[in-house]
Amino acid sequence: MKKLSLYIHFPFCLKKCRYCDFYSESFDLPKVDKWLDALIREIDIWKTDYFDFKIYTLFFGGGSPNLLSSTQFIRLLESLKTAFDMSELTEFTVETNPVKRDREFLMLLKDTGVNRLNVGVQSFIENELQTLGRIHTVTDVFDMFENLDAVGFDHIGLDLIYGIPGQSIDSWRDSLSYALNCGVDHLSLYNLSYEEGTPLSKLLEQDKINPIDSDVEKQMYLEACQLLLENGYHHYEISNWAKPGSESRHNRAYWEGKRYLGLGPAAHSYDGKSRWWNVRSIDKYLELTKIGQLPVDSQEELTEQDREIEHLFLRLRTSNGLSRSQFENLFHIDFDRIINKLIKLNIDEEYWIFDGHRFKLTPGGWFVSDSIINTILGFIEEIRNDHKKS
Amino acid sequence: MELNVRNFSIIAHIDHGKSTLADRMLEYTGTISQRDMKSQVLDDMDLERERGITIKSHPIQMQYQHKDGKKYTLNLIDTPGHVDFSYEVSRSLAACEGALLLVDASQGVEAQTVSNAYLAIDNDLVIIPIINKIDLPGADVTSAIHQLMDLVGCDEKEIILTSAKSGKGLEDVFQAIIDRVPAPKSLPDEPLRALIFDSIFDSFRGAIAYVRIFDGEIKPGEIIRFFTNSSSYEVMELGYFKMGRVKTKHLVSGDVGYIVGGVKDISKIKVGDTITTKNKPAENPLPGYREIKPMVFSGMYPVDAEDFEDLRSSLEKMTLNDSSLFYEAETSNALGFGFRCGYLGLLHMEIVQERLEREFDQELITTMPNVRYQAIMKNGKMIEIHNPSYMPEAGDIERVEEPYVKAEIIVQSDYLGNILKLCQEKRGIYKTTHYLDTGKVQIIYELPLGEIVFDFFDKLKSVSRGYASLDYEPIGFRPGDVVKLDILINNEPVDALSWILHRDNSFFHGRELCSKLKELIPKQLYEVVIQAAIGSKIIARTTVKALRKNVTAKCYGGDITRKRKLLEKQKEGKKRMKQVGRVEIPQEAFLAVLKMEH
Repeated sequence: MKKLSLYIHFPFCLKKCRYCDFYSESFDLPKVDKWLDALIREIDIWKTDYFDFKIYTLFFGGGSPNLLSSTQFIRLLESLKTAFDMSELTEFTVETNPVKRDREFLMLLKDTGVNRLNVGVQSFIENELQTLGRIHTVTDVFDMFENLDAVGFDHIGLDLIYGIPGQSIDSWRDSLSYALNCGVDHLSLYNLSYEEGTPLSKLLEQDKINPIDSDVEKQMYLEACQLLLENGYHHYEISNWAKPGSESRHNRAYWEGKRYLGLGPAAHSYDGKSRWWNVRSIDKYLELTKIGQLPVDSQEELTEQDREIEHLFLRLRTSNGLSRSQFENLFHIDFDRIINKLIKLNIDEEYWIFDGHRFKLTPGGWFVSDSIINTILGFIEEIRNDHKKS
Repeated sequence: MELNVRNFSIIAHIDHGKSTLADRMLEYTGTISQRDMKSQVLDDMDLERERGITIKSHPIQMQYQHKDGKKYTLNLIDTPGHVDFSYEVSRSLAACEGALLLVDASQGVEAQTVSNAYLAIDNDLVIIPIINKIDLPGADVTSAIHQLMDLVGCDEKEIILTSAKSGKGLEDVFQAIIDRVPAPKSLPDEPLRALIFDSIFDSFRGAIAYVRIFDGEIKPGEIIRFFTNSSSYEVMELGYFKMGRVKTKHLVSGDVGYIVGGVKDISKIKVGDTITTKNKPAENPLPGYREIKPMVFSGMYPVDAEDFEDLRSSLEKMTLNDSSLFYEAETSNALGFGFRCGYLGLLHMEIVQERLEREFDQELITTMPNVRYQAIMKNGKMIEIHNPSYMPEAGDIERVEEPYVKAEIIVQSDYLGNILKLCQEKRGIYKTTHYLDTGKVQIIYELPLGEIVFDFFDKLKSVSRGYASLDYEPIGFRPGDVVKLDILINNEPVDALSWILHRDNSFFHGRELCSKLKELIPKQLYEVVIQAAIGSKIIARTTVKALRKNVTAKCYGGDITRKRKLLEKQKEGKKRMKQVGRVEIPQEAFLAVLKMEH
């Protein structure tokens, strides 16, 4: 059975958050209708290519997909069901912000098969929400969870951000304990990153905000790791924790190199060989779909080397880590040689664990994982150069 | 019989208009048509033209029709215009009977004016003083006249005023060359003695000697011998110089020309050496030959280790044309395989490095330059040190001697105080001062060359607002309390960062170097300890804290391509680092010492 993960990008927000670099425009109801028309045309173009695939996970992200009206949501779902085989859908996630929304809409989501809601809380501290440029308040968050309790979803994910200017270890601990009290089965804790071109990174360049020292960020991360472990959450990816069995299957598909199809502007797709992404402009998207063309911006064919690098860094991001046999099959290098070279990395602090079969990063290792991955890539290159010479 | 030949040079400080004057003379005599004229035709390397300096002398012959009805052959031997090449200048001057001493009317006498004038006087040349650029707005002809009169002890009426740019005064220059410069002595029957004043390498004919024939004559087919080595060669071709080489049947006493003798290795043709014939050898060589030895050394490494052989062949090619460049292979624990190169001086070093990068397309890491030291060992032996990392153990050394130079600085008297202070700081020994006129003063100091190599020139310019000019000549080795400063990174010495310096400066510089390195070495997965040590004694220490964070926090939404590209970018940056033990050091760190602020 051929499986496919589906992602749908809703590119509208009431107001853009200051740190966000995902593609979105300001909300405009008539434009949402046009987006939906275009999306249905895009689905139509793809349906023949994927007629023999079963949709395994569906993720509806954005933007703020909770801004969709019930009618629009039903229309979208109908066209998906017509085009794709959804009979074996295991996970259907909708991203939502904790904004005031009637209970009926949440009921509708549940009734139409949404079994996972991902709530972008980000912080339980009012001024941190303001720094991030979020439109909701802490009260909105509590209201939201009251509604969610009443409706009763199978799975709920909650996102928090740490490293927010002005945040302290104490306020971070507060946010974490509020999050735990919400009783969710999935938590994503993201370290704030200053993405180029965002208002927040401009403020940083202009010295108008004080970034959090990386020593403090590391402490925030390690404390969270400990706390969530004690509360029965499984740390299954750098920034993701879940109660056993509640890991996000959709995100796992990305990390495990599975096929996925992204629909909507700026969405990314992968078919095992190449990756392509849609145009990052709603107008372009409307224009191209109107004339029956795929709204693809560019495509890249993954080289063997690209695939190697992706395998390495995606696997090392997860708690499963890198399997020795998979590594050796892919790279044709004895993993012991890598381990021998790596030993010196564990001198100051334990960054990795190897049980003979699996190589995994510890939380401390994860926090410097880009450097570790590059070090390993360097070793691979060295070993290959030695081979060439001899 | 007096020959209708005049052999002369033009000597001047950089930028005083030497090449422009030469160009005008070539034009005037019809040696080159105006159409073919590029400015400064005699400087044929791009680099020379760009910097407005002559590196290699390039002789040329002109025919001049004098008013007295006679035709004269004028041989102009151009000289390099920089302190590094003073030996070459002196040999070029030795090939002449006269020199045009050119001074820029707005600048007056400068350090190289003086040193070149002295070289000419030492070689018993007739000096024709000329003040150039008299048309320039800033010209102060009166002051320049006084400075020149004082320098060469001439009469005001002997000084010619010119504007090489417009050609004004050119006729007077030619007159003076004919009237004042003596004709060369004609001794065609003596055994051959030809002075080598330059050489070049031609890929078809091998090494070619540029010579001035003092005694005797020479024809193709004769067997020649060099005085400094016993090998002999058959003369394949002779000639003189126009814009290019022109073949001739013989060269005779008084002539300037070239000899092709099938010499494959340019190092056999030594500037200052004398050529004679095998059949009728001269008893003694011409005076003044000196073995030239490099004064300044530095390590040169390819950025990419795989380019080592490429670098070797580039250096080989460079030495074909520049026999004063010395190189030998060396290895460094930090930089891998590379070369230790020896240069005549700092400018020579800069030129070599720039030519390698530009003409030979090499990407280089060069280490800090150092001078040559002599270690007198307890067992009485003397060891020459070209590379700080080969300094013997302190316990085995009786004493170390370092090269000294006589430095001559000319500057506006307002800056005298600053210059004296600078020279004292650089361990200078004051000799004299001499006022050239009311505004300008000449200062003589003896200074360790090692101090000049470091940052003296930049400082000199900055304390004098760019006015001071400097010239120097080596005066031998003297004992000095110098020590080797080692840099240890996580307890491993980094040979390419070792540095020989005076004990009094070592503590300060050691600490400074550590803090500069701390800025340049990026955070790594472990703490990096940087130490400066003299022998086993640590004199400074600093640490680069371990990297706390380097993580891509978000990886969802499927945009994996971007994450991969970010990683690849980081990897590219890593590639350009050099590995010492487990620490990665960026290339810039190896020149950190030059970038220190003092």
